Amino acid sequence: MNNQFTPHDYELISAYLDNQLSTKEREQFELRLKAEPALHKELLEISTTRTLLRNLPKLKAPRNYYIKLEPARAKSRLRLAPVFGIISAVASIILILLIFGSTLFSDAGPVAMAPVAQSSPVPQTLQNESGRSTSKVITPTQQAPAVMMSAPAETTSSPSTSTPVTGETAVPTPTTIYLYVQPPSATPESGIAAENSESAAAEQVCDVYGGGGGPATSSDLANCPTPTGEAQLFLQGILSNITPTPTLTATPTSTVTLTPTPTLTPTETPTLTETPTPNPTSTATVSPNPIATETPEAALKLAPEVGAQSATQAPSTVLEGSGGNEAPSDQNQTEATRSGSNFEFLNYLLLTVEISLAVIAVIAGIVAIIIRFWAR
Amino acid sequence: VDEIALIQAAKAGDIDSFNRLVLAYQDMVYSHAYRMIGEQDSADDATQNTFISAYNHLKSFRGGSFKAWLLRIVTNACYDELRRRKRRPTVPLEPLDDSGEEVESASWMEDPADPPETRVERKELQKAIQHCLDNLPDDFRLAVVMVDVQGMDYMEAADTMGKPIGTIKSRLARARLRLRDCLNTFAELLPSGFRLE
Repeated sequence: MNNQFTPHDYELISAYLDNQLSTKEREQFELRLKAEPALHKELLEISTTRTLLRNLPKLKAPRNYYIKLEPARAKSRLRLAPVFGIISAVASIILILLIFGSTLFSDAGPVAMAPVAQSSPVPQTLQNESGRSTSKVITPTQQAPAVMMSAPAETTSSPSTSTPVTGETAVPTPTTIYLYVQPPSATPESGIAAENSESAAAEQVCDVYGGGGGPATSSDLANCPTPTGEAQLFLQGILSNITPTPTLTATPTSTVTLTPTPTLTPTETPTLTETPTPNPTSTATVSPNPIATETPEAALKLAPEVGAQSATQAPSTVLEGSGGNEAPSDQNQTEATRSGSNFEFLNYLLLTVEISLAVIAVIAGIVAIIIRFWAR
Repeated sequence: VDEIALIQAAKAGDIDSFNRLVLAYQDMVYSHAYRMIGEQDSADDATQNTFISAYNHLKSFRGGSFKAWLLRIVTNACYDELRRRKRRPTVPLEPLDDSGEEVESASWMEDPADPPETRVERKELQKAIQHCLDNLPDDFRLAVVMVDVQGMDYMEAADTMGKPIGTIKSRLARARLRLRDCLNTFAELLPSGFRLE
């Protein structure tokens, strides 16, 4: 580049060659060309360069670039392949999540715990529960079965409330339910003592049934260790109804104190009442405080029913504290049947969804593969 | 046949009409791609991609100069190819002579109908010009190819490049100046009437 000319001078030269200057600019530039030979020389060289560029041969295309319809359509079809692939992948992922989710739910759910109650006799169950109550750290998976296991005792004892029991036949029903109502964080000593007394009563009741000491009702037999699966089936129906209750995990925060008072009074503290019933077997019933605000909602709902059960054994004293909250057994059975049918319906619904997702995943995957092969 | 009618027919799905447009512009597109890239295979790919892209986006053509629209597409394709080559630089393969040495001249591609001397001189000059073009910055090269090789005026070049006319003027002047300086090194290749000194 000649240093005596500025970039603007070369822009003028270039624009002059391309006839891009106005008339006034052109006249002024031509005056400079006449006055400056060096500028005229630059103009000639730039003009030669421009001519060389413009004389470059027009290249011919080495081939024809026709567009064929088939590749164009195949390309548009090929765009759909990833869409079907993504649909198949998403359906597969949802299906896997559903399968694993349902498997985990069923493993952690109460249904898996039910066979333990069926296979082991009641005293052994009580022993397990007593050991559980003494544990310092209680996980939610431990708490949920504790309350759920109480359901059969609650329901099986309820028929005795519908049929008034006379003094002689007022055989105390298995009282394992009271142990389960007791929150796990109760004082270990008192809890174990109460459970031991409860288990002793239960064993005695079962012995009486076996020895023909009295007419055993079906509800009574259900609480005894029996190889039949009636209690198990009934328990499963109840468990499916209780399962969604999330408030069961709050039980560790509540405390229940057992005070051996001779009468059951509607005090605000749970009392350990020794009821002077005609039954020679003295049963220690634990009536949780219904007003204890720290007790979870499920336990609060269960507490009055426990009192109702004790009312069947000692109507004269327990009726005062029960508050008249007896739950009819027929209603419980109806609810259990209804919850069982709901559980089955949910299972069928889940199965239908899983099958649909599997079909969608397979079909979408096959379509994606076919499209890719078709586009070739 | 009217170009506008062919474009409308191609927009309606008539692929034969579009192929007639391809036939009319493929030399121009390929020449532009070759001058921008400086390599045959890459220019061939850029030309093919240009027409495929033009066909797929034909509905976005709102009128005006179809040539400028095609040049805009091929320019983008050339920029893509140049960026790719900068990321992964390659050495073009040259043919070997009888002694096994690489033939640096491109005369092996020349039409054998021309006399050998003329063919060699012409090809050497074209190669020198292309060499100087390749050494220009991409934006400068695009301006000089648009105006001097494709014969577009400043307005068309500005419209195609999407730049103001002042930018085109400046880039074109600097590109010509650099080309002049570059071609001075190939003075022996220039015809007698085109000697710069």
